[in-house]
Amino acid sequence: MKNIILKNRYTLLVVTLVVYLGVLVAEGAITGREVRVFEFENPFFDFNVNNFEGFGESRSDSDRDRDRDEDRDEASGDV
Amino acid sequence: MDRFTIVQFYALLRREVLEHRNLFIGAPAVVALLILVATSWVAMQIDETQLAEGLSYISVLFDGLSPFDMAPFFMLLAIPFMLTLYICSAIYLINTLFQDRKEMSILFWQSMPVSNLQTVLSKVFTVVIVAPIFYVLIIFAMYLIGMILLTILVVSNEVDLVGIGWMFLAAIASLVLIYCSALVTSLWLLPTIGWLLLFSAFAKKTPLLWAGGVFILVGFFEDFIFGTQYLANWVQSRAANPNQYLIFEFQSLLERIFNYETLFGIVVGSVLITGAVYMRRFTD
Repeated sequence: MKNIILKNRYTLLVVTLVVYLGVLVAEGAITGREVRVFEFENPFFDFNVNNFEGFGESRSDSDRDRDRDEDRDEASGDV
Repeated sequence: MDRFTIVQFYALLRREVLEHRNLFIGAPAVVALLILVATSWVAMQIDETQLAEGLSYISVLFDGLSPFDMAPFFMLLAIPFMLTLYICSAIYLINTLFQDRKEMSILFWQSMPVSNLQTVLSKVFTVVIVAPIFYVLIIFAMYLIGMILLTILVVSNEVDLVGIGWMFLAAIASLVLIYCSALVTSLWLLPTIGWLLLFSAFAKKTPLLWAGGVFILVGFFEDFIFGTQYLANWVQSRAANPNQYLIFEFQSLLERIFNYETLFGIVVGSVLITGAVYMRRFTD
């Protein structure tokens, strides 16, 4: 185990960061620290990193809407 | 701990101070000089009668009051020094282990009877304990020069000198508060110290960029993997309010050191400092 951790600088960095993050998350969960601090609201499209499929669908919807708007513009003669 | 270890550690601390004189002595000396010049310039612009009135008001304000009660007034003057200390400490921490590898002096130090733990600890001690001493000494020198100038002004304007004496005592008492504030701030921000040292020992180039970039990435990964933002919350809770670590009264000193948040910060900082100690074995 020690050999793996101390194999090179990158493995050591990753292990240190994992321990650091683990301690913080465990402490946060035990003491009931507030889970969310920043909510990033995007006015252009819905982006949820926990739901990539939904993101793909919402992108398809927005593409369809844009195509429909372009078709309507072309039909009315606006470019 | 035997005498040899103490002498070794003292030598390491002395090396740090000698190699970084500009950050720990030069920078606060420049700030003190700027404050003295600016104050003298302002004093010269004021009309003599108004200056005499101001001096007598100050003399009455401090006369007979406990220096310990009046000491927090002088914390305002220390703000530029505290800011300089934080900035210089950050520059020192991010560069110190990186510089050792860059100029290959790490090979020399590793050939000496000094462990990596002692070397990294000497750098932490330099920032936490030693650097504030130099800052406080320079502030003391500034107060001393300021008081001499003030005494000359007071005598030439025939104002009562006793109040100025009390003011000087309050200024001296404030030095203890300034040192304690710097000490508690360093303990409070020990995770930051550990983080900077870790990336100073890790990065082959641009350690500051690594430290900042990985911090953002780790926050992103926490959100991505766990769906939480404890890291952002924790950093925000520690950095947002300076009242958590600045000390304005002597009674709150022990309370500030021995509380859950500070002690947990020391634990987290120790994890990162341990990482920096092991990281130092990679000399390439």
